[in-house]
Amino acid sequence: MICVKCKKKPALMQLTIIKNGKKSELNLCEDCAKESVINSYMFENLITALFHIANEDDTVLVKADNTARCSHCGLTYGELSSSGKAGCDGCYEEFASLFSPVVKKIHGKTQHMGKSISSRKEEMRSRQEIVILKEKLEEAVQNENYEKAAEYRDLIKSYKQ
Amino acid sequence: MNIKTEKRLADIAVSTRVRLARNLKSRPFPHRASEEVLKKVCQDVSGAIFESNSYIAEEFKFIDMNAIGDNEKERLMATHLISPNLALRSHGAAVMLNQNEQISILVNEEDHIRIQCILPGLALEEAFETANKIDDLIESRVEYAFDDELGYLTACPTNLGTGARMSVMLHLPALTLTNNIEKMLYTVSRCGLTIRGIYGEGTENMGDLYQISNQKSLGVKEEEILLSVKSVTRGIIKREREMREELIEKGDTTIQDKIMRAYGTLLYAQKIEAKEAMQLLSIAKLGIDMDLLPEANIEKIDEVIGNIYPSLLRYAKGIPNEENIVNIQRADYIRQALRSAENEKQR
Repeated sequence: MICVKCKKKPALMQLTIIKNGKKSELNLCEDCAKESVINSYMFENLITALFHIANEDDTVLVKADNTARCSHCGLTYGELSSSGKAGCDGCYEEFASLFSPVVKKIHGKTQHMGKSISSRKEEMRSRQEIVILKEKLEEAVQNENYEKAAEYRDLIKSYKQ
Repeated sequence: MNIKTEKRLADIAVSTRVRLARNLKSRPFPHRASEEVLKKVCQDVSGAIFESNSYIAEEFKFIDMNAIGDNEKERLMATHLISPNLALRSHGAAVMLNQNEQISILVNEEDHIRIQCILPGLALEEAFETANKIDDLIESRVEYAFDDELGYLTACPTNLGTGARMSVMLHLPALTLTNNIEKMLYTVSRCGLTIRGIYGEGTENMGDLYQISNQKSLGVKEEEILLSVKSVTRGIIKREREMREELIEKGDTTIQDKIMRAYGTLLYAQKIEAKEAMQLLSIAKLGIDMDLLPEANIEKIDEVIGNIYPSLLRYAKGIPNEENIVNIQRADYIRQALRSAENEKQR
């Protein structure tokens, strides 16, 4: 199912709004769900949170829609969170918000370094070079070596262009 | 380094394994794939090898898991050429093996493709180079699942990035006997590496054999993984050698007694489980290294270790105890093998 608001991303969240005793349900992507609620309520962990905030007569309920499916292989959000295994390469894109904290926790890093497929070699080289330069920049700043830091910053800029 | 210590180094590092995990683009991973998709993956991977104009093509054979019996599966598992996971798959799983059985390509295990190279001793560079070559060869004919940030996409996020796992199997009886292994394990984990049992989780310490490997595969280059595994391995080998020297110098009777009892059991036992046999053979090997067992032959012991693998299929299916008949046959074989080696030496 696709998000009813942006009509682009998969609808991983189900928003239930009870207003003046009237109940309505919305299937939204994580970003749109966040946007819809964030203005009026505190909103933190979307994936596990079951929201139940009573504001006078209004109630907003947000929960992960475990039945949301990967449009490529059909793996559900629920299946993925219980097994931890992707169903296909497309899952990594569709369920990106679930994977990114997991990847960070396992590997401590988020950017692949090293070998790449031949069709992406050039792009990957500059991408990885930027990561290395950023690390060097950070180190230079920590050592208060601002001259070197400026050098790295300019190099990074030139790569990004 | 004299010949004996050089041999000891190779003796401590039993084997090296490098594995690369790869998947094909836009196809469900094996655990979600239909029979048809699995079949297509087998065709594509075998095609990539066989239809390449490389000399490599002639070296490989394709083995469907359904086409071989349990005994052959046991042998391939014991030599790590296939995994229990692959052996237990009901359909669509295969392995491509080269002639000298150093390279195996597991098809439709957890990932579509797992390229493995296993070499004796400590040979990380060579094993990686070989696996890398096979990877290039397959990539030239298929489209891999790859992401600019996450690298090679794998079914389990633990293998993302390089998809590489580099490991060395180490025989560490002296560190184990002297209770120094815990300390070692702590150091290893602090270096971002991990210890696994040689036949998977829970088989740690079987025959004092330990498998050291990288834990992280994303955000580190292949060369960096290789270097860290290599330097940690070297450090452990050094410690094990020091411990052995110390044991020899001390002439500790408790250790001597343990070694002689182990060898005695191997010579006289009437039935024996693989785990116990591996443990006793490991201690006997240490005894030979310490010149305590002049009548025994180390090559023969290695041969026996290579031939008495546990009933891995039973373990994989969750049946913990081995059959009585297997244990009797195993004990018979060990007795005969060790006695004939002794007789040959006496002659």
